[in-house]
Amino acid sequence: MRKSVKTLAIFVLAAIAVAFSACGSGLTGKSYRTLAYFGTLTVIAAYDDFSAGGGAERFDSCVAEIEQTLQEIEDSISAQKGGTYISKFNEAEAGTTVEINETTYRVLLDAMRMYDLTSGAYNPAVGLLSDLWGFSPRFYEGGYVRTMPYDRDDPQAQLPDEKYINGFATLTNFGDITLSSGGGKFTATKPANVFETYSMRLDLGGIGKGYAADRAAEIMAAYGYEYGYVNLGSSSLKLMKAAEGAKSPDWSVDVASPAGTGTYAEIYASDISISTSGDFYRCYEIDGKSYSHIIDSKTGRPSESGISIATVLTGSAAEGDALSTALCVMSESEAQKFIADNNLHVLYAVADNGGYTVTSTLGGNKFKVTDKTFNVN
Amino acid sequence: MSIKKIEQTKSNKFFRLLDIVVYGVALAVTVVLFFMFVIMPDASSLRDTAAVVEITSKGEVVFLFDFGSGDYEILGEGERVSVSAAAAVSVTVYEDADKRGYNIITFDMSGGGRVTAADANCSLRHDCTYMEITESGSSIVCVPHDLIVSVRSAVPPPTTGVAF
Repeated sequence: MRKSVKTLAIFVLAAIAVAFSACGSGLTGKSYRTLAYFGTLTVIAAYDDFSAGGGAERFDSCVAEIEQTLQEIEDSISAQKGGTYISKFNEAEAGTTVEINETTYRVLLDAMRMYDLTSGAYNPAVGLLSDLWGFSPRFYEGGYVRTMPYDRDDPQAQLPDEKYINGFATLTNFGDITLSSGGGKFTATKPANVFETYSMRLDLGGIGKGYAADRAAEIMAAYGYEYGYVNLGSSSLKLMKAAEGAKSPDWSVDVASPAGTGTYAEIYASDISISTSGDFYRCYEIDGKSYSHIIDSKTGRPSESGISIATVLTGSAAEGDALSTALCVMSESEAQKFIADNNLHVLYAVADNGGYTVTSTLGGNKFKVTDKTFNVN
Repeated sequence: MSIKKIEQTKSNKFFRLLDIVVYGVALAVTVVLFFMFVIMPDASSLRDTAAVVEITSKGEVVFLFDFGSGDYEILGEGERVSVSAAAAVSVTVYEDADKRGYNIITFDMSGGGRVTAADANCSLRHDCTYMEITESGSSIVCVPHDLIVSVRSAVPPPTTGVAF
């Protein structure tokens, strides 16, 4: 056989082998569902062989199970819905013990761990302060009316009374909650300190969405999905592998710009959680000064750390949510030390001189700053 | 190397005919495989790509159908749109609020998903009723009523920090 014919035979066999190995992955289809929980949208996307028998039905079953789980978590830990365990805790008198369910117990344990790790930079006991500063859902749902003694006519145009800022800051001693479990029962005991008639109020929104995203991703994995993602409100993103792109399993994830519109970076990652917090989302300006929804429990005021947006890549979305919030509360030097001490994978941007400077501990090939007006450290 | 061998090598053509045939076949195989496994998968069904199909009437998007979830949404004031849902979702889009000119578009989730123009009173020929959408990239157009049915998007790309 001539050499060229041999070459052709080898080429054709190799090409067919490569082609059918790609085909063998069975990823002929993709589907997604959008669900509404935690006051935001959840996108569940799966890449699979939907042309195979039962592919669509399997995804429907998976989404139904995720819906049931998200509903259970929301009904347990929402601070906005009445009758949840966190609502009962918030309404309870100081010093009393409240019975909670296992989900609430586990979220509180995670929150306690992150509160300790971040030395209180992540603190879910800022429920009263969030309300005082005008960042509770009642201010965004329309039809706001003054109901609380500290309410203003326009809470996003008038600053709160110092008395309440200082008073409510004393009710953020989250570490003083006592959690216990035994015999299938779970309880949380509220700290005894009060300010006037007020006692501690929790808002687990900062970690709850990540916790829910973690559970949703576990359900997808149990159904055998390897390709896809769960995106809970875009603050908590659980990536599996990307189906597209033979060279790399990584997704290209757009990161919102702290400038308010568009995106400023892309992150390339798979099989990981990505959590983002920023001071540009839900904020207002009074007399030229910006006030964000991220509250520093130590001062009782919106954070002024300088980190405008922090994106954290971790194994757990619950941890990532708490850490990204904490980084937006810390000063930049505190954040740098914390990131180094804990070997965190982060991308963050700091506002300076009317622009932004980006710092990252991700590998150089794992992100790209796409907004050329941003400086890169 | 012997003189004879050198002369034989010199007399050889750079490409022999068989070489050209072989490389031609190799190129053809490459092109066919590229189309089969790179281009073709993009042209998969509406349900496979979770396509969102939109109806634009007189420049205004009046209706969205999501083949990922089977959900639909009437946009705007909705006075020119009426929907009936049975085995398939049937949407009637009127030219104006007086409900004169109309197109009936059906969205069928069975199989890979299908959008068809079931009826219209635009002209005797009803050109649009010969059209259908079964995959991304197709569209249905009714010129007399200024109506376009087209695929908007597939699965949204993952983002972080973007409020939605």
